[in-house]
Amino acid sequence: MTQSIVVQVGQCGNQIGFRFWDLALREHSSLNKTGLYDDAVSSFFRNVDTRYSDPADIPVGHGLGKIKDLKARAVLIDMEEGVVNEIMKGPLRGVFDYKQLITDVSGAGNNWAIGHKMYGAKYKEEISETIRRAAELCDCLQCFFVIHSMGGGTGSGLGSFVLNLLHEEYPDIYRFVMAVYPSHEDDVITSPYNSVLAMRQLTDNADCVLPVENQCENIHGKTQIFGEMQALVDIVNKINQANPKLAERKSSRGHVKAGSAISTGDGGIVKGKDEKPFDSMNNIAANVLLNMTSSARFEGSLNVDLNEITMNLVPFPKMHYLVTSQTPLYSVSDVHIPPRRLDQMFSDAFSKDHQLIKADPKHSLYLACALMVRGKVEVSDIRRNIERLQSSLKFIHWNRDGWKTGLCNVAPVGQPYSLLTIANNTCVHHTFSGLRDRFVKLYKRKAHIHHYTHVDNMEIEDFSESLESLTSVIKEYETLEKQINNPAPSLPRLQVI
Amino acid sequence: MSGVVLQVGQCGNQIGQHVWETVLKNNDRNNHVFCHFDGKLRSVNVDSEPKVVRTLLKNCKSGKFREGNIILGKRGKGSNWALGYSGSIDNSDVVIQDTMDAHRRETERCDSYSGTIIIHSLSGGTGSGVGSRLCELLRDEYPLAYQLSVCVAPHSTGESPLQHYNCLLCLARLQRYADGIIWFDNDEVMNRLLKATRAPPGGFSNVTLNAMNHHISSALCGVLCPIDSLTPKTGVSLGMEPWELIRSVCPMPANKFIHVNHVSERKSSWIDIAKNATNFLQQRNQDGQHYTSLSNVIVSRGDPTGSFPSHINAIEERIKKCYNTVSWNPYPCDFWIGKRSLSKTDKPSLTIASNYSSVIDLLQRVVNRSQEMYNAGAYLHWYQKYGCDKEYFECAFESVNNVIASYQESILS
Repeated sequence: MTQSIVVQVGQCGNQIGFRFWDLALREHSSLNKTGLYDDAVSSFFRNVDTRYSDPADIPVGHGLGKIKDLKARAVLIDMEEGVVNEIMKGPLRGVFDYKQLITDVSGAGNNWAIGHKMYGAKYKEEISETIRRAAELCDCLQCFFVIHSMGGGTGSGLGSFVLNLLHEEYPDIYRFVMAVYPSHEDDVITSPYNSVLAMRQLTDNADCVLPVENQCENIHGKTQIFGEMQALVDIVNKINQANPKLAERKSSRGHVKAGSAISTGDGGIVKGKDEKPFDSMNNIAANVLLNMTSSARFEGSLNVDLNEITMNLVPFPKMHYLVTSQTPLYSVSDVHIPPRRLDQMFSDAFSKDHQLIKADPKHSLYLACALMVRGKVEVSDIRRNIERLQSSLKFIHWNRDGWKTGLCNVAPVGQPYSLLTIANNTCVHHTFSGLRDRFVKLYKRKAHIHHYTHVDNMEIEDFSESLESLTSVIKEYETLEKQINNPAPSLPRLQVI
Repeated sequence: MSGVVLQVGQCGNQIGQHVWETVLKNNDRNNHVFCHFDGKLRSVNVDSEPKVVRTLLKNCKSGKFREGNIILGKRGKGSNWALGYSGSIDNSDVVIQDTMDAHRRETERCDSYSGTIIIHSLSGGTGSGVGSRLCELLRDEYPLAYQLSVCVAPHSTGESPLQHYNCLLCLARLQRYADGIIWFDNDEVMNRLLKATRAPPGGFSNVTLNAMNHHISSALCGVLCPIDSLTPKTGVSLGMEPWELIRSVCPMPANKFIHVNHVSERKSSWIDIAKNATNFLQQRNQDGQHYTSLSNVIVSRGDPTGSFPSHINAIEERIKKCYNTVSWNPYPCDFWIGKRSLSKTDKPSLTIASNYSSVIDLLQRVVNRSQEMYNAGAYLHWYQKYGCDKEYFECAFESVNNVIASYQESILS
């Protein structure tokens, strides 16, 4: 069984990471009733004997040993102490090894150059050492998950530095990045600079990027600011609307089964009143990570390993930005679930309301799509739904059947089945174009540039090169999208000369 | 006694599990065909990740599998034929070497080793990549032994975007190194099972992966289990059925694809069972042309009263018509009779293994889709990363196109 290491960088990265570990523990505790340390648990956790000051690692062996104490395979990096300190004071402190933390005091001031160049140089040895220690404790390391935001200083700067480091030192290990993109009215003014500078590193060094967008405008909300498409805030609003009592933490008498919404941390270690405002959104992002790795951890009729995700969804090396969506958002406590619900789940996954970024994949071109199904779903159900949806979705002509299906027998906590779609769709270029426009607006005036160029090793060329790299990625997606209405070109006929 | 069964990849091992369950149910004196005298099966199980084979060992009587014949990798082959074929970049992959060693030990235990049966899928990374590599290596090691490959083709509406490339590259290798290729199509199997089950009210009929695997393994057992007509007078079977099958059904080296049709029903006459079998068969292609078959082997099992030989003529007429046998073959139907049935309840079954030209559809589809993707240059960097450059693809296109051409030729004459 393969292991994965999660590297969480910056405030946003650590908060999402924290939710991820809470939910992972919840999932394993609900499935692993006997407390045995088996392969599934070992993919994210180490079994340690805490009697020693340097907790001794207990290997899986034949999978029949009891769990003594679990430590997460995680590296937590933040340049200001607030978030990590809170984690280490909170109920999950026992899960993290204090040697896996790298913190500083002053923070990166929302400046990519400080995060990447200054802190990168300062902490390079320490980061490399910590990751090496975590990697050595793995029997067979398969991939790194890097979680960070694109708008801040530590997340984008130091996060992309860590990605570089991983590419250099572990070229064979896959690097999955969950990047949180800023949206229109992000409160950080220099976020376009940080994002574009980090994007270039992602394009060059990551194997797969899952972009996520936090804030967005509200379509059917009471306060309507700008009317546009939806993302995480609206997903959370949707769930809360279905059961308003869920948001007030009272026991629900509504139709929604308590604890089944993907935005809830119910049943985790963190109790209700301690939940912070962004926790619902972070839970959704954490659930994506859990569901993506479910087939690699648990058994199923159609296994999809993590390397299969990269190989099947990335047709060209630079186009590795994948749009994800998750359904169902909550499960109804009505026992007589007719089969229509299952089909509804598949249809919902492709609506723009359920995507984790502001995008409308149905109107853009699909390059490939992976369906990771968990729970009691049969192969013929999947086939039937694919055939049904095939007509309404536009796939590129050379990949008309570009579906990858994975079936895991283990259902997620609180729901009988769930579906995660990971798609390589050209609609991402809209998000990137918006980002590029905001960057260019500031860059034309050279506003705030001096904060960046003051840092050692930071050149003005870094800006123009990053802009170029982003433009080329956008152009590649646009070129492919132009083929949206193209039928397959017919083979050239031999001509009589 | 004379063969070794090699199961590669998730699909191969899942089908193998059902095959062994069926075989072990019939505990009779012909068990030595599949089991060594110490009770362990003549099976080698290979997979590049441990989960599937662990499930197999849990569900089947695990005492029957020899420890050294289970070879597991750790990381999986990522649905990439090139990764399966060439192993990892730094050559740390010992899966292929270990498999060859285990296979060699198994052949040394055979009294008269005649050949190997490889069960794998065409679209996965391990099944197609490692499977084709093993085929090639086995041909090198044992040039005179038979190689029967049992492959499963994926759904046409997509199980994976890389499936077309994987199928293409694997089929080209199989054509070159295998002696006979039994092929199953997921679409066909699923449609057949959907027709057979009735839908519950207000819902859709469901076909589970288990049911599909069970169907494929029954068809396989129908063809590979010992037959009375091939058993010498001493009553001890030599296990020659797979090799006789190849000798009967593959008349020409360019036409090796064997299609298997299996029906098992209680309380029907032999004629009815034959009718059912031919009903399920797809007889015409998209343009309305009739498919043809070059040669057929019809296996009947579960005939305690010995009534089958009297029906042979009628059944032969039916087969000749529905399968549209070729005119240049004077004896297109070969009948094998097995008194014992496959299931414990003595259900009679009829299995028709035929060199049927519907394989052209599969091959043409694989070539067309791969050609489109190849022209667009999609996914090629993943194959080139593991040493599979343009030449491999060009050769593969040529091989498969040649096979299609030779099938079309053999139909016309």
